[in-house]
Amino acid sequence: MAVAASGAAVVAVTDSSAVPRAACTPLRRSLGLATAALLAGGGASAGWLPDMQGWQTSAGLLLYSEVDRVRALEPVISARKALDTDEFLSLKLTVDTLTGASATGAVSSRLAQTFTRPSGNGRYQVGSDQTPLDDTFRDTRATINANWERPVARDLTLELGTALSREYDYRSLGVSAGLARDVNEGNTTVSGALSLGLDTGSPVGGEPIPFAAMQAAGSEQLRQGSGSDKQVVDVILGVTQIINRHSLFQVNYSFSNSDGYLTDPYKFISVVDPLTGDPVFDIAEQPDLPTIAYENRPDSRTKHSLYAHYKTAIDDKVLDGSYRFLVDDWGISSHTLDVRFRLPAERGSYWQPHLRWYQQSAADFYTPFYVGNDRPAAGDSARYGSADYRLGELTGLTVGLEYGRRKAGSGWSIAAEYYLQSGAEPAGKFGSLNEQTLFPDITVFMLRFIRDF
Amino acid sequence: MIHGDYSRHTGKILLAGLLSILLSGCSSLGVKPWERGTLARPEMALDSQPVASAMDDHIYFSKEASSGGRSFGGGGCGCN
Amino acid sequence: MTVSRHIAAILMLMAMAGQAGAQQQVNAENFDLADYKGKIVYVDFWASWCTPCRASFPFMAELADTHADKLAIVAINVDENLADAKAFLSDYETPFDIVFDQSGMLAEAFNVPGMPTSFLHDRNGELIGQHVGFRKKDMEAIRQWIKDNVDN
Repeated sequence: MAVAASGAAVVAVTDSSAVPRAACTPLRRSLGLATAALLAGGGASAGWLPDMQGWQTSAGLLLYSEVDRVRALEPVISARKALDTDEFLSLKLTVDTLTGASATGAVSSRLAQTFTRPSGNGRYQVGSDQTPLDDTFRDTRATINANWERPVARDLTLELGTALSREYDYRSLGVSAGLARDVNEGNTTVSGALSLGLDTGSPVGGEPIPFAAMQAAGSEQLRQGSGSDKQVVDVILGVTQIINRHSLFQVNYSFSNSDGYLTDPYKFISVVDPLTGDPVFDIAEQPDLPTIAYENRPDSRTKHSLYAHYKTAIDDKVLDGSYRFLVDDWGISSHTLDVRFRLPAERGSYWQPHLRWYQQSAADFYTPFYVGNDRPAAGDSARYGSADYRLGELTGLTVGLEYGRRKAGSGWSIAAEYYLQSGAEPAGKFGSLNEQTLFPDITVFMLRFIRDF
Repeated sequence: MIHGDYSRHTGKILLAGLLSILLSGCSSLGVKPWERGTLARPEMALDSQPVASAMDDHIYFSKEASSGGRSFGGGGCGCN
Repeated sequence: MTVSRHIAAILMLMAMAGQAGAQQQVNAENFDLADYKGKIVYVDFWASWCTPCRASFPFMAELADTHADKLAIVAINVDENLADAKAFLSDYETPFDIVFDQSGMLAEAFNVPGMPTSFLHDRNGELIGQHVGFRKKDMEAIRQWIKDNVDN
């Protein structure tokens, strides 16, 4: 072998052009070893396998489209470098662009309604029997994530991460640290991680005064400030356990606490007439502007969740199932069930059907509408109310199918998903509200491409 | 207030459940180091498609009141 | 370009690998440590699915080359599926012996604590020590460890 190596070294030095380029592909993976042989005489350093050199990169694109509402485009590029066999650096850039119309929380009505845009300038009209949507919803967000994973002792891995995100009316900074310890011959991994986030919002037009009414376009809106912070602390404790040669599970307990401005400054609650159920129109300056109350949420939220994930290989197929139970101090509890089944097809390709079921109860302060004088006084921050459908009782069903192809470190996949969100119609509808669907179904189509190289 | 207590109580139950799983029969499960060929397959990684799962998490974070569990709950987004 | 230089080197290596002919590939039943008596023996347990194991191959090739006459390297493969091991071996030249231990009988006998693990034996087949895992930063220590024993 010593002879071969020195012989090769001679060839390498004297003849660098004789090899046709086409030879590169099948031989590329031998480079590391050849380098080792070449350097054997000097012995300074062995080669490194080509698949551990450079960056493993994934590029993704998500197309998201709600029927009649929001559309989003989300390109992602993510890269990971093995600094050693047990040390990794990952970087990720995500951009998402949203356009379209978003629900404001106001009820639909047999009467046409005109609302003022968040900026306070301009107005938009909502026809009779239409769900009020703010069609000025438009945003671009960019996020950078960096992660560093390295061993700090035998069987002990440290992971440090940071995330920075920026959008027109919001910015966020997060840091995280986690430790994972392998025990029981590497069959059990116990992990704990902490994440801290600091978000700063600066909503268009400023934060509305809680429960204050919307003013006519061009008039001064009732705002309490502009610039609102939120701090988020997350803790995850987890156990991953290998069951046998082809199955494993993970159980996580998560605690999350958010403090600060948790209200959605663009959402409000309709005030309806106690007799007719129609929105109240009592703003003299603009008679088609209904009286609404800007929402107000508690300034703290604590969530607990238990997550269980099971994965098993059945011959060359893989079954992946997870369940999450979540409960918070806003009165929301939810169940999420997710199942994927990966079926290999010809030449390294696969099909993967996906089913997800989600169900949540409503927040205690979920208020689809106020009846007449039930509306809290403007500025009464001790009371809470929100008509945001995402805080109501709802069920979500996702059905998806993915097709992909994977070979060594590279591959691609395409997935199509359909999401149907059905809310529970609020109890207590009366009068003309009985003819309205306050919580219409939301249908979403998603298309996702990912390329790994 | 009632819900605050309820939630704290539930948290304790969840934590107790997790600890009991931790302390119970984990040591009787498992395989030898050289028997992990199937588990080492890329599609057997618990997060085998990190880019896809981050996209999904972001969508559900903006459409539903729950987030996190699998990994950190997200945030850094004015969408919820 | 250095790349084409490397490729030229590989082609040369491949051409000469046949002539070298010293390496053999045997099944676990035919493996006997006593066959290597008189040499320091580096027994390495590896699998094609194990990234650090794969990463150690160029390093083992270097060791084999450095101590050609005094050190024997035996790489024991524990892939359950022999085809996976063969596919890897057809991609990489291995200037040392390969043993196929699909059933894990040798891994069991050596009580392999992690992947990869290398066991160093003296010229009489007595165990000197073991090394678990493979990291870039381990290479220098392993080199020295082997050099000390080979020169001893």
